[in-house]
Amino acid sequence: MRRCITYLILAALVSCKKFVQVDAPAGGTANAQVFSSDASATAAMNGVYSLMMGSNNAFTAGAVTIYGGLSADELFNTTPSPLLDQFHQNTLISSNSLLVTNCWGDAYSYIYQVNAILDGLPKSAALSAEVREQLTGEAECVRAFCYLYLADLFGRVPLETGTDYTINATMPQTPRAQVYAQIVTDLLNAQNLLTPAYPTAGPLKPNRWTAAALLARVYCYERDWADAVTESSKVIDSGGYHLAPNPNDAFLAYSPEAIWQLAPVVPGFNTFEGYDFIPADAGTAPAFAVDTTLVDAFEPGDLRLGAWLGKRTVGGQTYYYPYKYKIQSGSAHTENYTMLRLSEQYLIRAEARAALGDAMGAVADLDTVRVRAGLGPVATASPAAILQERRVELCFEWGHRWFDLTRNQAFSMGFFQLKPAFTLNDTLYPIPLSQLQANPSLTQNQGY
Amino acid sequence: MLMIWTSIIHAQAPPVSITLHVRGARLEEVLGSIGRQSGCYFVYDIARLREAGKITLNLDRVSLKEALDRALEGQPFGYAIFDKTIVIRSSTPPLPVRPSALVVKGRVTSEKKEAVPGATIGLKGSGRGVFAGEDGVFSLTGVHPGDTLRVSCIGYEPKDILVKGSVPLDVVLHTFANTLDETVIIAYGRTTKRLNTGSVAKVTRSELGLQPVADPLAMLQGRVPGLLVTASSGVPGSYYKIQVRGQSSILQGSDPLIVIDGVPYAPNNTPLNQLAFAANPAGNATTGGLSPLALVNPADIESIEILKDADATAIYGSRGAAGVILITTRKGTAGKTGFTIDAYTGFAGATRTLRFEGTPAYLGMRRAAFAGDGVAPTSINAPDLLVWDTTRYTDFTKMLIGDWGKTTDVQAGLSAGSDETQVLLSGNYHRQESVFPGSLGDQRGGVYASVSHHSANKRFAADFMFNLTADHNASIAQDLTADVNLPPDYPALRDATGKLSWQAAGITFAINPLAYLLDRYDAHTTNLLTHLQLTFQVARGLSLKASIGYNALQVNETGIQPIAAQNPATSPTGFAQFGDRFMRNWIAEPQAEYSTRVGKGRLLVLAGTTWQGLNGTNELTSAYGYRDDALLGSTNGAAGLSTVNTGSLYRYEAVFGRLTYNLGDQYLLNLSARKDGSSRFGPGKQFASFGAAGAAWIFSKAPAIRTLFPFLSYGKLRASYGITGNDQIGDYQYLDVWSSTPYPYLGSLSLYPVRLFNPYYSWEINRKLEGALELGFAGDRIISTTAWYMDRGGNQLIRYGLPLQTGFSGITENFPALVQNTGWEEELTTRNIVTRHVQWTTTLNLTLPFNSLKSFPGIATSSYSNLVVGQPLSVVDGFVSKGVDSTTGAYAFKDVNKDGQITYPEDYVKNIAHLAPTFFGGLSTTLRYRAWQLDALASFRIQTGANYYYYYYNNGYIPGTIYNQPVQKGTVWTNQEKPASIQRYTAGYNSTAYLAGYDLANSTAAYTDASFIRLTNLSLSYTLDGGLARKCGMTQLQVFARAQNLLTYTRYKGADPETQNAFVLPPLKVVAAGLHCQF
Repeated sequence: MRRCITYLILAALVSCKKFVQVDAPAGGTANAQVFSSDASATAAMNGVYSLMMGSNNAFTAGAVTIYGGLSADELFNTTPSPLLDQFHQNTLISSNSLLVTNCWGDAYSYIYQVNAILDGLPKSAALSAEVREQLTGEAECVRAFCYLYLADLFGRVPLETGTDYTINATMPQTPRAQVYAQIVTDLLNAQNLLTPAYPTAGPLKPNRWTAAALLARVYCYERDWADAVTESSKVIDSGGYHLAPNPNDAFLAYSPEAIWQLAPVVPGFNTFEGYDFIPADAGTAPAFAVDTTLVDAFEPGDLRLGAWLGKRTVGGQTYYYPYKYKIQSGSAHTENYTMLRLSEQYLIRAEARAALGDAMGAVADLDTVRVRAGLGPVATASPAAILQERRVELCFEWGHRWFDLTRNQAFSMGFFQLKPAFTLNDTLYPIPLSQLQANPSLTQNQGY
Repeated sequence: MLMIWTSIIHAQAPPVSITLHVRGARLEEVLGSIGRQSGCYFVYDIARLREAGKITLNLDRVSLKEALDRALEGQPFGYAIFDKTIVIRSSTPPLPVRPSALVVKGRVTSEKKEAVPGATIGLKGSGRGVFAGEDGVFSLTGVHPGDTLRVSCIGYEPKDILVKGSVPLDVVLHTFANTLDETVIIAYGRTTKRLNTGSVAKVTRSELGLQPVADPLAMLQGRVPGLLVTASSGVPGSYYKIQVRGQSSILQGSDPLIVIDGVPYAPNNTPLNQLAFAANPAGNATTGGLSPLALVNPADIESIEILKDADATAIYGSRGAAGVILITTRKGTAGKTGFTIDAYTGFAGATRTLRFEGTPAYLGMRRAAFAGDGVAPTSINAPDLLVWDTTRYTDFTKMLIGDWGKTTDVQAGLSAGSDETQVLLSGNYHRQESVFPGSLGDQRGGVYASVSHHSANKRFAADFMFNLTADHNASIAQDLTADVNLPPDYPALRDATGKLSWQAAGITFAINPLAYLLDRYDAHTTNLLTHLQLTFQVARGLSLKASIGYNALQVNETGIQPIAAQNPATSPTGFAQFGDRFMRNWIAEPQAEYSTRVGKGRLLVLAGTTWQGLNGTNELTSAYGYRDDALLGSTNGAAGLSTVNTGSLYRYEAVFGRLTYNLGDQYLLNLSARKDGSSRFGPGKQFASFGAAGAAWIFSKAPAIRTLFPFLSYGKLRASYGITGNDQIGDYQYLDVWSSTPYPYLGSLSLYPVRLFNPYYSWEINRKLEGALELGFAGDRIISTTAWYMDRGGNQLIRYGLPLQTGFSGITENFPALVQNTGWEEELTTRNIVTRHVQWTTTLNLTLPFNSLKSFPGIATSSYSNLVVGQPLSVVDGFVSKGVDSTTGAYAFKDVNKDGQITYPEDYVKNIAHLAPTFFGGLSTTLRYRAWQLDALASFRIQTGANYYYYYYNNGYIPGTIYNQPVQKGTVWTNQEKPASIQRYTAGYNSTAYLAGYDLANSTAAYTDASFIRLTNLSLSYTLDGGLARKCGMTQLQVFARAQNLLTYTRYKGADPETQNAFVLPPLKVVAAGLHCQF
């Protein structure tokens, strides 16, 4: 009898180890497989763009434009909301959930994936040189793009360039200058690797001029005027781009002035900015309205006022709202989301040339932008004139106004009147509280 | 409770029992003694009587007939009984028969005619004996007529039987009246409270049946020491958090393993829904949700056992670390076919809600806020002051969560059975409406069948259970409780034509809560649970068992957002989501059980193996851009679709064994072990071993103790130690997997990394130590169990939170910290009054838990730097509130680093509160008077909780902003001279006060007393056995009224102290009345 039991136990002990070894789940691909072919490595980079465009108010799908626009003197929310009010009134609380999910968290999730790609590409022998170089260049462009916005919004941020979570989890912040240095390194390398031609029909993935255009902005923000002129000239002189004659066409898919656009991925939508800004119904107010100081900043005759601002009167109240993107929603695809465009390059070069003493060149660049807007030439390219032109040309677009104000400390009396709670500490957003708690090596920005 | 009482009545009126111990006595003396004990008179011829031989008798509580038979055995006399008179007559002396050895065969059954497997049949005075088989059949050789057999078994009163010949014996054992000897279900077997070496708490059908709620987990609230059951919401069908003996891991902790009739429940206690809906706080699908146990009909449950210590749980190996909950379903009984119908109906409402200010006070607050901020109100920032009709008042609590939801429950069942086959068939229906406006709620229907059979030769037996339950949860996308703080002068939510309004005088309102009622959520769930156990008795003492189970669960969810429910300003298109989840779980467990006598004790050996597979598929489809609300139920009308589907496969195998040695029901030893393999681990880490030892000494059996403490009727010391594990980590966590993004970029394949990858994690080890003292006094009318436990979890396998800069919010890894849970548990049951007409018992259970983080290398740089070594895991840090600053009028806090600013982390103070209950328990009582029965359960918790400051102020709902405020006692700051306890009102423009509001939400002021005592259950019933019932053709008719969560006493500064979250619907209080009819 006991022998019987012993046999039973023995039989069970020897039971097949294979039983508990299961295959990978359907729909999943092992990391090693991802970099085993040109197609799947390209799919990994496609995944980054897909996530960047995949949800409304994500870091690269409206967050920077909306929050930057509220923090600056561009937009206001038309219904009270504690989380949005904090941006608009410059009373941000470090626990504001929009900051941590839509800004910080999104950016670092793209950065992780890009780092994983940059880690995987050189290790694989199966990839063709062209694809490896193209993808490396794309990944570096995206990483630079994310870090540029993180550094401009938050100041000092952790500079993660690898995928090892044991290192990344406790990494402290890096001074802003070092983050900028990494951005410059990435963009210079990307420029070398990328070709002037796009890998897609239209500017839907970065090319060489994407890297140059972004680098021009970085140099401009760093006040490295000579390099800013060089890089923006590369783009302007590339011959690949020209300003759309009609400002109404500037943000269309494959617009001639688009240097880099992302195609919509969520069915039923074009850009989320179009969805967020355009009131669908004639009887309702827009969720975000344009501040009257910005409306008043347009000179008489500026075609952009009519082209890029919508107007709605509801219950006797008149609201202007952002209307650069004209499709609220719908399955017809006519608009892409513009990441970089040519007129910014003219404005960068104008600012750099003016700083370098090339007044003629600066005026010429400003006028290029103004002529398209139906305006006459300017007499001088003064810092105020450049700031004004940037304000109206780049209005509610990727937070340009907010960064122009903060990098130049260009806060006027009018701004302080509009924003009674604003102090200079508010030029940087607070590091999200949950992140300070999750990584004690991080330190908070001044004033929070 | 009912069962116990019935048995007590039985014990009150015992049949005449005779006890007689004589050696070489004369027959007349023996008859005299029988006469005194029985109250009977004897009629006999004294001269003839003296011819009888000398008599030696040892009778223990035998019947009168048996006593006479034994006394007159072998004597030339017979007898006849006439009422109380017994006539002894002489008989023809039989031929002297030399008794020869016999083989005595027979069967042991219970009074329900069910076999009593494992009963001991001992030959008195010889030390020899056998055990009954699975079918209760036994055969004992070498027995002589006149010998006495003692038949005994756990859970039954022992019985002595006089052998007269080789006629097969039919021994009927009666179940013990004593709760100590009630059957307790344990892993792969059963025992009694008396003989158990482990820590197992039992909740019986009689306690479960009193509660008018749908979820069996709700019925465990306050009943079991060491078990904390917390409602997550009052939305019907919502989730209950269960925790056995404290939080063992940094995150919310693992759930206990849930096993229904030997089959691990496929979802365990993981919420079933993929789409977030009203039962998910703050629309977060990862907390709260649909309770999987709500698919189990409580009326089909016979008992729920909660296994706590290593001795009880280690045989579940890797799955037992967080405790085990065994649910045992009902079985049919032999005898007359019985048919029962139970039905009740009643109403449910929210328990405790916040009380808000009226319009004048609210408007006064807002005006003061703008005046204090020095900002002029505009129609954009103050529509409540300038645009809306300031004479309006709406009580949003009443409007949104103030309904009384109807509840209905019907159960009908048939029980029938013969000696060999017993059947139970039942059907059930339950409906609970929600307290939201409109006809929403959860309804459930099911069928249950149980069949037990054994073969005519009694060597084969089969037990089969089948249960199919379908549930429809009709709900909405979000909990309306989040909107009860809307301004009281909020404009009418519908216009004159009945359409939803979105604006007043051109100013859009933030929200229209009535629109949320159109965002319907529907979950259709089907649960199939079936189990078959086959038993074959190979040889005496050895039986083989095969336990096979299958559980299939399907959840189909639909969530819609129609155009009609949306502010036309945001989007004109409809949106729908469809979630489909399917789980298939199978388990096969061949087992062998062998019992034998070793030395003077009984050894029980159990060995078995487990193969289990759990196959899951999830599909979530989002459909966008509907132009017509009528098409929302289908994907056809959508402009675009995206589908995410995931599949998972879990495989588990194990070999397990247990040795139980029982020496004279006095010394007990239990050893169990399991070797586990799980597919959730990477190559080389898949196998691990677990085991435990438990021992008990029933010292009240020792003669010395009996002499020293005669008042002690029962005393047991037990201890256990063992190692258990945890593999509740999700599948494939060790794989470095990329998956397709929800939407492809440019129509091409797009991949993203699913998780941070860690191939190195391995089994978690949990060591559990327990010691307990069980005592019974006054004939076990008072039974006390005092237990002390210490569980230490190291190398814990959890999802470790990471800063988002790593790209993810966490990773599965072995957590380096050591967490200790110790505690005291006390359960005291007293039968206060036991008379024929009045019976009163009370049961008190108390738990005093201590949770402590013993060590945590690298805590300072970890994601858990808020924790403190030596303090509980529920510790919180924050600012130290100092009341209102008389100068700024804002809340002030302790400036730890004295830099003049209040900042994190410089001014955060660790260890400002512990949020887990520090003491909890329950008091239940049953009082019966004739046909009346009153049952009550009060449960309490001593705890600190986050109050409404935490929930409201952290969301910017600071007094002065455009949200209504709960009524608050105190003085609001207005100027420097007047002392104040509430800070100045601010509309958000005074950044000092606005920030101070947020800081208050994370300060000592936000964590206050959340202790409560609640009348969890109250039940009153009246049973009609006689006339009226019989007139209606019934054998019994009972009328009852029941209430759940009827009263709550607390000083909690918030809504309900159990759910706490101010945005979550408080648990429901239910009042119901109904009938129980038995035919």
